[in-house]
Amino acid sequence: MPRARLIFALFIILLSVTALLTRAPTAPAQSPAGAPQGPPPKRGGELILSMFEDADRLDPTFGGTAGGREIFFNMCEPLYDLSADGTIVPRLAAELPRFSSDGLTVTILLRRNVRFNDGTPMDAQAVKITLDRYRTLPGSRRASELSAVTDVSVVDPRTVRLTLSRPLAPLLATLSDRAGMVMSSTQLQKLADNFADNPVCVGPFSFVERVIGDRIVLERSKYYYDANNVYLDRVIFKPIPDENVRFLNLRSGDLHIVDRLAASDILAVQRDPKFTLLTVTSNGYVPISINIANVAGIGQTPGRIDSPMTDLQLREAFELALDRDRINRFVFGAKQLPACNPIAPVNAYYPKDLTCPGRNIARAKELVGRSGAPTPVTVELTVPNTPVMVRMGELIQSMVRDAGFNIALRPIEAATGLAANTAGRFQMSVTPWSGRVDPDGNLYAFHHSKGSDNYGNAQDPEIDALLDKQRVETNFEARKKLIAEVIAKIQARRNVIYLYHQNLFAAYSTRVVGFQMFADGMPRLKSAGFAAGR
Amino acid sequence: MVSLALALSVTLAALFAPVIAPYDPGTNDFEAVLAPPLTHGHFLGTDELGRDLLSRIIWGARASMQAGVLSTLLGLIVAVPIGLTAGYYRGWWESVAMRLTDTLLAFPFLIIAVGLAAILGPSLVNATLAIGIVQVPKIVRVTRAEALSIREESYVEAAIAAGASDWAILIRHALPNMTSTLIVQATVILPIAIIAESSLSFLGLGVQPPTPSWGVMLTAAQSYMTQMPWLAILPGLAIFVATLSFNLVGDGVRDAFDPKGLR
Repeated sequence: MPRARLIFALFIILLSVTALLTRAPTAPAQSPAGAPQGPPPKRGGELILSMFEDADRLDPTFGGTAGGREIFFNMCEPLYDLSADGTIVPRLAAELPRFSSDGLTVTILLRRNVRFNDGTPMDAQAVKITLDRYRTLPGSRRASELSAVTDVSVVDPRTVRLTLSRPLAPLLATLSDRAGMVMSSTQLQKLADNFADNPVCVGPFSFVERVIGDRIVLERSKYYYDANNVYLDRVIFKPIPDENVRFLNLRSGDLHIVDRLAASDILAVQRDPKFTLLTVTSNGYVPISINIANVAGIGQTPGRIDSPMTDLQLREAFELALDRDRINRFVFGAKQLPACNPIAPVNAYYPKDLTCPGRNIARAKELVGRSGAPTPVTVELTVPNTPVMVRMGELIQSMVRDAGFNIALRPIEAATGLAANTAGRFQMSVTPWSGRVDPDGNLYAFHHSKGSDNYGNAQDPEIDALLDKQRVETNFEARKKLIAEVIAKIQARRNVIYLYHQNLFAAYSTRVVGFQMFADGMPRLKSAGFAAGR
Repeated sequence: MVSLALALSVTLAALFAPVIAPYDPGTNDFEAVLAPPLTHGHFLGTDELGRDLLSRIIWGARASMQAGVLSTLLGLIVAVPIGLTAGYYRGWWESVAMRLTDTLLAFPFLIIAVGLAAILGPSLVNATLAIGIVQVPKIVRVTRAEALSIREESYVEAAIAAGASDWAILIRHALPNMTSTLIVQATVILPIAIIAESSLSFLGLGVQPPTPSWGVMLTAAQSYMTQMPWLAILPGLAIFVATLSFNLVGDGVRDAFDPKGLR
């Protein structure tokens, strides 16, 4: 039949053409990272950038997503902040805090003439109101971060004094993030629990509107203390969880900046002269959190949950069935850093001596058999609903099948996933964390029995004691040793199985200059703008 | 004939996937990740996790055919009795059935699918259910129209005169006389259901990984569209071939049953 032969010939031609379209990758030039680049921007313009996940509540008290932090860092400056070189610098504070000799009193001097984005003055009283809200408001995600603070007092309009129950080593890092973001007292009084509907802080940009799932709009604040060095009129954040869609939007010109680029798109960006690639080694990581006893929500009494992974032997078997290097190679193009602990290699507290268990299927099978669980061991794994995370989930699914696990993947949107994890509605969940400069920010909330992000509700008085101890230890070497001890215990408990540390990739139009992203992975737009003359 | 052969091939691939497919669709060949077509050992290449594309496409036919056939059957089982009785009895039942049909038709397909996925969770079974539900009003309308016409036929009047019960008339006379229409309708629905299954799986509302499906393969291929286009072209081609062949077979069946053509 000539028609059948024609169809077959067309099919073969199509295959050959697609095969020919394969191109060998070439070694591209690396782009500089971190600091503002290119000529100074011109004034004005509207910049559109993607958010890899939508924000949850736009109130730093309750915020728990990296998407939310991307917004906060552009409209809610903290007392202290990270700099391009990874050190902490004063932001709303005038200088670094002064600690008393016993470490129990911290004095914070505030910057002069600072106004909130509603025009009201930012003073010591406003700082007290904010910090007290963080410490005491039911449901506050900042409460555990500030649990050592027993009192906040106003010394004078520019000076705040914190009284601590014990020395708190990570305090400076804590105040460099959401727990240090000062909210307008006037707005808090007006909106109370609904502050997230119209948040007002101090920042280069002020909140205009939010359409959930579509956009968050900010505009240049006329009250900002450094308004002369802010160039853009307006910034639009568009939540686009799918990295392919983000990249296509960048290519089409609908986005100026993509905050997180998939490893598979890096080459295309490097080859295209219209884009600049920004590479950041972050403090962030991606783990799998395992529900051990969270029946009614974080902070509630632990109980018995219906999951085989409550058995430590099965958790160990699961980890031994993983091959982190393969995950890195095949899902991330070898662009990430395989890891089995929450402290990134860029961090001074990185425990160099701790090693990751390699893949050992024989041992994994033995543990599964010894657990007595019926095989295959069926477990649900929740993953963020992005193509790359689903791909990672599929690879994990395939790897652990060899050891006798049957993983049911459940792709879920980030904010919904966070709510499910918090409420205990999960068995295992991939829970990416954008990372903190101080190791406490990557440990305490996730592993302390009373931690605000202890998704699996794991309880261990020994780990709690070590976590409390490292918080009060101000000697670097002694604290580093304590942190290594904590990590060793966490690795043995396996309530969280770490997979890799994140290298972050952002891509932006060459029309954009002054864009910054530091080790916290947060885009900072204060100095960003469009290149003059373009 | 070509279309019939292709449709048969898809059906056979779905039925005998475990025998035909050269590899298990979930097996990873880490030495040949993203291998292009015509690679030794992987005729159509491999995907981003080193899984054989030919095997996944063959297994993907199973999900498509399962959703296509089952949703069509579901649509027929639910809709035919409603349409048949509405057209035969008329009156209040016809009004109620037709208004319900109008209401269902007013709902976009994706709304129903997303709603079901939200309530029951995304899966092939729920996708099949959603696709089947969407077909119900269309089949109800066709069946009712046929029943309206058949009830006026002389052989029905003769059956009534002979004392046949309503059920006997519906089952023995009306239903057999609308079979050809229903078969044609089924062949029209089948390719629509195949595309619908692929669309739902593409959106993450249908088949869940690692079960292979053409829609799931298209989703995964998005990340590699510019560098490895065959990852998208091949499952796309499978959808195209399956849909076109079943559509052409449907045309052929319609022509075969067309009384004008028989003259």
